[in-house]
Amino acid sequence: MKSYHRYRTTHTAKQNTIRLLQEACEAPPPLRRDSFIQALPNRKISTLAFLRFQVGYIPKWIWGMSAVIFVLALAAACLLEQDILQILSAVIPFVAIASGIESGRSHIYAMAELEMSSRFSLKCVILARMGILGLSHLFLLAALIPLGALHSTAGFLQTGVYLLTPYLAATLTGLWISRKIRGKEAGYAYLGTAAFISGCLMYIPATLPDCYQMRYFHRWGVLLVLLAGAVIYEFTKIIQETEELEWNLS
Amino acid sequence: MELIVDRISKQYQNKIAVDRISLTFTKGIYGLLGANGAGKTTFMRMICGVLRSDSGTITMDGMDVTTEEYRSWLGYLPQDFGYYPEFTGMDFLLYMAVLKGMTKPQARRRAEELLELVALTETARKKIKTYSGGMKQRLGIAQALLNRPGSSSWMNPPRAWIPRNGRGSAI
Repeated sequence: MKSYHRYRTTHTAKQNTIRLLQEACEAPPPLRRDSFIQALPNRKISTLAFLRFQVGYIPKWIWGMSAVIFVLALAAACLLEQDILQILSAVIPFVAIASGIESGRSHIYAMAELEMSSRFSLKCVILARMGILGLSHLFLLAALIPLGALHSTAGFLQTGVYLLTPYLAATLTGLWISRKIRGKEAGYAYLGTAAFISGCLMYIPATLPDCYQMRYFHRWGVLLVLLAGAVIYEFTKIIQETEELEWNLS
Repeated sequence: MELIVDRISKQYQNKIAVDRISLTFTKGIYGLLGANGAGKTTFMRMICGVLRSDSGTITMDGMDVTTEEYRSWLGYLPQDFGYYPEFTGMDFLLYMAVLKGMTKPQARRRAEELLELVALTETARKKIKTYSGGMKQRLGIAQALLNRPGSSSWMNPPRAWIPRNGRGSAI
């Protein structure tokens, strides 16, 4: 008991001395703190966490536009008694243009050089964003194609081709623009392209009423395959260009 | 730490920007001086793995500069950089920290620490577009220090820092 009492007294005295010293003298800054922390085994973010993180950096208006188009398609299907296929194919380029905007966003806002020098480089950032957008567009098209087929004279396959063709046309031009125009003016080019494709799809059926007939379906099929090939080519070019900063002295 | 630059060259069409440069950097602070268009920025970009050299190699302690391992060590402040318009100072640092492979709690702690270091704590929640030029530069320095690069941070100062004799510099 006596020894415990002695221990308590000594311990309290020690604690008091430390407290008094801390109050009297300011502690010096830690030496080699950064190199010590760097030597510690570090927890790194996983690829899945990185993907989740990138979802938050896709602008809200892109999600909003997809939602608005889906709601419009639903409203048109419920309220209009006419064929809604033409309406759907005219609005789909505005969804597709998001891919172009996202692939060129780092260059538009001059973030490309910083992103290139990071552990998850620009290539990872673009692949992640395009993957997320592609998946969301797949869900949207999976909802719109049956809806369009139910509310038009075209079959399921035909509706799919009629919607995918303008989608791929807008994606292709969007990707091409993001490679060729690196400034903020690219935004106007994206919107102009989407409006042009949309206008064509409103205008062509009026002048060529037979273009949606079954006997021309194989031409749509060929066009779709060509567009798909061109989109793959453009996307590959974009990914190749993200591996090195485009820079010239001219 | 030893960064070895071995006979690197870079050519843009008919203009040779960097011509067979060989250097060895050990721990310390270096300055790179030269006339406008001498190839300082090109050289820096090659060291940071942002540009590929036409010939030669750059390695740090055996790591090639194009590898992910090297980039996770690197701290880089380019001459000009931008930001996404919706970003606040804190958002910018958190975004860059995650690109550098840090987890969210680590990123937040480090961002707060660096914002205090560059005296931007009070404006951390404000949009970057409201920042002055100097504040943006301090934010740029903070992002370069996010992963505690220590021996491998490369800064290409903006033109405003360059002395009036027309020579640029890179550290």
